[in-house]
Amino acid sequence: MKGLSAVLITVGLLTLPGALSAAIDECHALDDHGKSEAGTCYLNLLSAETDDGIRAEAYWRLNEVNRANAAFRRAIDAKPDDAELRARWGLLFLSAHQAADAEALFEEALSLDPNNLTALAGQAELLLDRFAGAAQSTISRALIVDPMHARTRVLRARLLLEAGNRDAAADILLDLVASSATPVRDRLDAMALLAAADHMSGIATPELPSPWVIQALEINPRFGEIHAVPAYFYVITRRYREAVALLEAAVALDPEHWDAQLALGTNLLRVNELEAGQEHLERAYSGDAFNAETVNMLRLLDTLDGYDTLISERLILRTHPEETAVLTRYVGELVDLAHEEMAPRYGFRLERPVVIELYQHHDDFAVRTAGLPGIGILGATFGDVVVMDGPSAKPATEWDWLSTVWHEVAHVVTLNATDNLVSRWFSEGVSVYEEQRFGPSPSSSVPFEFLKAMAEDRLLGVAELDNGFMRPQYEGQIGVSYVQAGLLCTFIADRYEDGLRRVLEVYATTTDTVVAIQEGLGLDPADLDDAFGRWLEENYGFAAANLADYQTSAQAAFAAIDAKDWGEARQQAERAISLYPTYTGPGNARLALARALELAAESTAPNPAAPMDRDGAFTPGEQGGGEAPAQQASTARQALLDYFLIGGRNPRALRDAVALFEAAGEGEHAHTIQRTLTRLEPMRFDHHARLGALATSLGHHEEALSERRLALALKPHDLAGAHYQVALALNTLGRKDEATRALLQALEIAPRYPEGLQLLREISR
Amino acid sequence: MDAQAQLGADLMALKNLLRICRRFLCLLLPGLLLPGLAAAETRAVIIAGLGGEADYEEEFQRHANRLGEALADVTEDVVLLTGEAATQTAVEGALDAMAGRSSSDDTLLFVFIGHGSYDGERFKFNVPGPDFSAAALGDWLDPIPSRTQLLVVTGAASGAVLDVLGAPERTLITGTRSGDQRNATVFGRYFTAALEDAAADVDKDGRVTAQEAFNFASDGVVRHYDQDGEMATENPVTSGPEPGMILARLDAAPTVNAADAHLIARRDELEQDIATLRAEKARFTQDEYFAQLQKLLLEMAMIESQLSSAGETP
Repeated sequence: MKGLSAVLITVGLLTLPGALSAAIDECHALDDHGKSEAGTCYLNLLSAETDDGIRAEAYWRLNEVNRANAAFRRAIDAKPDDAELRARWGLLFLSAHQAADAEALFEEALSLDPNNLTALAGQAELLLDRFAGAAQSTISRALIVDPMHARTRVLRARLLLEAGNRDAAADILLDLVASSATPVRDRLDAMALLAAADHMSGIATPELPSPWVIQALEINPRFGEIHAVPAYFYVITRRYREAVALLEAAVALDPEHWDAQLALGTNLLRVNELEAGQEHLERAYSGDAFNAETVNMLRLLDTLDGYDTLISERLILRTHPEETAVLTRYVGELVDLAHEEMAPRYGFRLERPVVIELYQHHDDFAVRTAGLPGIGILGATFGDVVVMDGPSAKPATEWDWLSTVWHEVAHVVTLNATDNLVSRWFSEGVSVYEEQRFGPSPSSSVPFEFLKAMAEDRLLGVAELDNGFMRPQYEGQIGVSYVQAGLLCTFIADRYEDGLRRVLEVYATTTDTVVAIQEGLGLDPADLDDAFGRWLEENYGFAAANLADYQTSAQAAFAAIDAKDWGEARQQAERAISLYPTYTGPGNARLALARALELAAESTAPNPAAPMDRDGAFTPGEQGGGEAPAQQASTARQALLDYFLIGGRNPRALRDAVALFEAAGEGEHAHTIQRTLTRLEPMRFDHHARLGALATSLGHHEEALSERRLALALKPHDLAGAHYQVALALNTLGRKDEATRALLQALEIAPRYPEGLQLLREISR
Repeated sequence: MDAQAQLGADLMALKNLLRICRRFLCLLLPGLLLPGLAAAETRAVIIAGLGGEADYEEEFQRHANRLGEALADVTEDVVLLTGEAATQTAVEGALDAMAGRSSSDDTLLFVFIGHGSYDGERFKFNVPGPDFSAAALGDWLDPIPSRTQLLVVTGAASGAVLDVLGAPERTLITGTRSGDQRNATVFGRYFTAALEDAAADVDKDGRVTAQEAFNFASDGVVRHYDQDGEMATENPVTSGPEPGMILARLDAAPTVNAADAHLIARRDELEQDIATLRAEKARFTQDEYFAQLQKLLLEMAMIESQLSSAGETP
């Protein structure tokens, strides 16, 4: 949140002794009022001033960050025990987007003086920027030291406003504006937050400015933050077009507001205005080359420049050229389904094409979404624009990329249906519900962390559920909130006819969850919480209560496999499955069961030395539940099939399943699972080749051709072989001319390819 | 090496050869006993190094045996040293004997499947008994007159040999790009798998060359690490001339009937014509190009059909 940060850290309270203080205060006063003479004032001060602490402040205001940094360093060398100096230096780092250095300096300052308000406020601001729950306690700590500390009160108001508590925020802000003791810059910041509150409550819009704009500009005509701060609030509520409009106003007032230029560039990209976005990012870079976010964004645009862009009526798809052929097909299919089935479920029609960018490298996606690498999410949606990791960015063991596409496209529906007013929990909830009920990998499994939170009564009520996403209070709460929101939407969909659609309709007119529930479902949020709680208990209470037992039994099953005790492994795995039959996540008992039986079947397979009965049949022993090897193998396959059917998507397990079903001659199952596996790992040519072969064996010749073509598009090692397979598939479909051309492409690479030459003779007859 | 040592080395090599021959039903090597009389051919020394653990021991021997079996279709001169027999002395002896029976027209293949160690300065091949260094191997290889030499070292840190053993006319294939990649490798697994996988034979001539095996294995290594999202700890490298040496025949060995020599000659001409046409592809429209290609290939197909009918394998 760079726009707001810039306001809040540009000036803190600085009390300096005597004449020196007066000199810089005079410059600050000019600067705070937007007077152009401020520059000359600072330069004059620098020509006479020898105190490095004051020189640092002057350089900082002149945007000479390196010199300010050097001056602070010298000042600290001279006064190593000065907590205030360290805190101010920390603020310089914060303004230069060096959060880690800033954090260290705040901590150093607080170790020297635990009550240093500049450091406490700086630390609170840093935590606010990270959306960390600890911001609240840091603010409280500072207000205990000085309940009237203006900077901290501004931060407290910001926190309240971000949490949607506009009235409480306004009380603080109006008091700050009215008080003559409030420093000018804090007063201006308070006005900017009041303007933001006006925008968030709908009193102001980009076309209808808040009354606070005029008041702030009377004090400082170049105060771009009066627009940039409300823009920030639009961004965190996902209203990017409104944010863009306000940021344009901000940079019009102050073209050298580099953070606003960056925010404008970033948000233009989010509304698919790439060229204009690049222009503002370049301006931001020209004025502030220190900001890694700007540099990363510009590099990303270079990457995007080399991407393919497919434009159709329903989809604009940006992909790496190596992946275009494969991804276009899968994403295209899903987006068609979204137009035809998903959107109508909510009484909505997708009018514009959905824009989807799929990145080959996670860090590119992370830059696109947050400006800095290192974030953990998989996808993000900005109105019509979905940006996400592509299947190459992460292994399929970690995620199901097509389900993520479906999840994000559901956001496109909920965001567009409500003009972005929909609450976070509801938008996420509908997306998770869509993913689990209608997505490519339907499932009702929930992770252990959720069951644990449920058992420990750590779930939030619906009215507070947004906080679980925005300001998590415990490790893993965001993940728990996703699951909870999804289950709540499942409950609403199943219990209240058209419930989701009706709630969504209300969100088109308000951001208030209480109103959305009351008007959409005709009941109070507390009643919804009660009913949902009972449903949750009915559906997941047993699993939650027996979670520890499940884990113990599943672990025991895997340990027994290691010990080659197949009977024990089977018993433990079956016990675990009975406790939580729909579980699909890691440490899965169904996979332990399958593995145990598979190994048992191998180890007890008939051989000349094995005991035989009079009819020559295998005599089962004690191992693996006393079944014959063929039966054990069949039960192993069934366990894998069950795992697959409840939504299990571990690629290794699915690979095993395909091999087992294929070896057992059960081609239909092998084909079904291979089809899913191929979608999970779409960049693997061997999956396409195998699916093509299975499809051929089952007589699905069109599918076989399609898969053979995708295998070829991935430029496999054996290119001639891949062309030949395409030719075979075309020939089977009677498309002789195309088959001949494909064959010639194979033989062009490998002129002595025996099978190719044979087929050429046959086709040419 | 004195006469007695030479005899010892020859006997050891002979024992190994007999072992191979028992396994592969190959012919005894006249060249071993009659040095210098053999015609130009490929000569191979394959070593399975010390595994350390049973799994590795078994894997190295299995891969070495597979390579030996594949090469048995290509050459009769294969020395396979595995298990306790793969000592420094045995390797030195085998190469010394190889030097004695090789000519400059021969091709030498040296393959080491196993662990290596690198201390930042020296690479050592891990074998039963004392290890031997890359520099020592270089000393043993230098006397071998074969102009074309291919060295394959598949294991951990094997990239360290690139600097030490590099020489003109010598191709090096290593499982890692440097000595700093010290984790156990999977390259050897894919390299030997290439010898019986039709997908490795990208030009579909029924033979897998060392270059094809390397490409196949490199691709396999990438997929191996990609599929589980692991960071690759090995990057195979080839350096020196492209190794066209045949490592395996996927089809039965060719038999040539003198009466059909004209067909084979015509097929070779056609192959050359196709190569020329391909090189000039840019001069034609797509349709023209493929029409000409089809004409040549149809004739090729007819010839192959006639050769097949005659019971010959191209």
